[in-house]
Amino acid sequence: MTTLKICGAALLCAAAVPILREMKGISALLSAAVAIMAAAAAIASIYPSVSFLVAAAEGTAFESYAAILLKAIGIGYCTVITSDACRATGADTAASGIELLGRAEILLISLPLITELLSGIAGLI
Amino acid sequence: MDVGLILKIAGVGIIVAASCQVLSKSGRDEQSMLVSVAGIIVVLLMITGKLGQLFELIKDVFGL
Amino acid sequence: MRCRGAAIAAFILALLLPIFSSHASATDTYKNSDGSAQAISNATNDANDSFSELRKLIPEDVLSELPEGIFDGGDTSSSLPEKIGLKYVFGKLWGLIKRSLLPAAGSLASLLGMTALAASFGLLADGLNCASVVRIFTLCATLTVACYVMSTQVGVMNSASLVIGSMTAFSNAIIPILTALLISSGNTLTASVTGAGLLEFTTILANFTQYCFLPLCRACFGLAIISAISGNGHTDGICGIVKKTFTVTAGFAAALFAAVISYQTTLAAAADSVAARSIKYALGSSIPVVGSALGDAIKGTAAGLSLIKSGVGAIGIVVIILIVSPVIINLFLNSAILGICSAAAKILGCDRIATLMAELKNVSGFILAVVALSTVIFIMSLAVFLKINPALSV
Repeated sequence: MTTLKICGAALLCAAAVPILREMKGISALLSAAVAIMAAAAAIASIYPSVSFLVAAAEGTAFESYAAILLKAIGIGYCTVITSDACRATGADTAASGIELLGRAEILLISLPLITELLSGIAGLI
Repeated sequence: MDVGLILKIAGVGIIVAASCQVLSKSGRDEQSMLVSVAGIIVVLLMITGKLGQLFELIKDVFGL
Repeated sequence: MRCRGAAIAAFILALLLPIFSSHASATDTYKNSDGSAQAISNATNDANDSFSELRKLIPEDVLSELPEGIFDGGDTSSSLPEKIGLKYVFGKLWGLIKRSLLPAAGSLASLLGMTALAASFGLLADGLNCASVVRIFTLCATLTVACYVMSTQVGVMNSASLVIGSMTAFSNAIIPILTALLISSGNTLTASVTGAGLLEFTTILANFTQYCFLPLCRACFGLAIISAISGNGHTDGICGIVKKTFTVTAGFAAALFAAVISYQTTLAAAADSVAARSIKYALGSSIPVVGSALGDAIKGTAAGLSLIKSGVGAIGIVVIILIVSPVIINLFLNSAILGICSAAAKILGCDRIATLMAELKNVSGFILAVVALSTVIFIMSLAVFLKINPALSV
C-alpha cells in the first residue's frame, strides 16, 4: 500500500512540475520531497532484511565484517539520496562533493580491513 | 511519511505561482519575488523536518 | 584433473608395493638362511638398536598412530608386512580423511555464509544509481571476504611449510641409520656413495622448497588477493606459469635423481658384491675346517641385517606418509572448498569474489604440488635403500 501511495505522489509531482515550471525552486523542492519520501519508504522496507542479515551474522566469525558492510551501505544510501536531491534542485557541484564525501567515508571504514590484509600479507613475506 | 506533504507542497507551489503571476502582471515585481522566496522558505521548512526523520531512520537501520 | 589424480594414486601404489614386497622377500630370506645362530643373534642385537634410535626420531603425534610392537626388532620384524602393510596405510589415510571432513564442512559453510552476506549487501548496493559509490562499496565487500579467507589460507601455508621441515628432519636422521645398516651388511661402497648423495639431495630439495618455492607460493597468494581487490588484472597467468615451471623443473630433477641414484647404486652394489665374494673365498680357503661354515654364518647375518634394514626403511616410509597425509588431505579439501565458493560467488553475481576464490584455489593447488613432489622424492630416497641387496648374502 505504501508503494502505491508513493507512486501516486510521484505521479502528482510529475504532473505538478510543468504547472510550476516558472517557480523552478518550488518544483525542484517538490521533486526532492518526493525523492526523500520514496527513499524513506524504501529504507523502512529494507529494515527487516537488513536486521535478518545482521542477526544471522551475530555470533559467527564474520560478525565484525557484517557491521562494516552495513555501515558502508548506509553511507552509500545517504550519499546517493542527498546527491540526487541536490541534482534535482540544480546543485550539481554540491552533489559531486557529497558523492566524494561518501566514497571517502566508505574508504575510511574499510581502513581496518586494508590494514588487516596488508599486515597478513606482510606476515607471509 | 505521508503523501499529504506532497499535496501541501504542490498546493503551496500553485498558490505561489498564481500570486507571482498576478503581482508581476500588476507591475509589483518586488512583491512577486518576495512571495516566491517566502513560498520556497515555507516548502523548505516543510521538507526539513521530513529530511531529519529520513536521516534518523538511516542511522537506526544501518547503525551509523 | 581426474586422470592426473588417478596417475598420482597409481604412482604412489607402485612405490608402496615394491617396498612391502622387498620387506617380505627379506623376511623369507631370513627364515631360509642357515648359519650360526649365535653370529646371527649378535649382529641382529646390534642392528636392533636401529629400531630404538628410529623410535626417538619420530614425532609424538605420528608415534601414537603406529601399531604396537613394531620397534621391538628381531623376530617381530618378520610380522611388519602385516602390521604396516597396504591395509594399515590405507586404513590410516581413510581415518584421516574422515576426521578432516567435518572441519572442512564447517569451513565451507562459513565461507559460503560470508560470500552470501557480501552478495546480499552487494544486491542492496546495486540499487544505488551512483556508479562510483557502487564501485567503492564492491571494493569494501571484496576486502571483507579477502580478510576472512586470508586467515585460513595463511594457516594452510604455514602447515605445509612445517610439514616439509618435519619430513626433511626425519629423512636426514633416518638416512644415517640406514647407511650404518648397509655398512653392516657389507655394502660399504654403496653406503658411502648412496648415503652421502641422498643426504645432499634431500637437503638441497628441502632448502629449495623452503627458500624458493614456498616464498613463491606466498608471493602468488599476495598477488592473487591484490588482483582480485583491484579488479584490474588477472594473475592466474603468473600463477599458472610458476606452477608449470615448478612441476617441469622438479619433475625433471626427480627423474634425474632416480636415474643417477639407480645406476650409482647398481655399480656400487656390484663392486661390493665382488669384494664380498673375494672375502668369502679368502675365508673359505685360508681358514681350515670352519672356513666354509664362517661363510654361511656371514650369509645368515646379512639376511638378518637385510630384514632389519627393510623394516627400518619401511617404517620410515610409513612415518613420512603419516607426517604428510594430514596436510595433503587438508590441501585437497581446501582447494575443493575454494572451488565451490568461487562457483557460488559467480552464481550470486559477485565476480570479484569469484575471481579471488579461483586465484586462491590455484595457489592452494601449487602448494599441494610442492608438498606432494617433496613427499615422493623423500619416499624414493628411502626406497633406494630398501632395494639394495646385502653384499654378504651372495
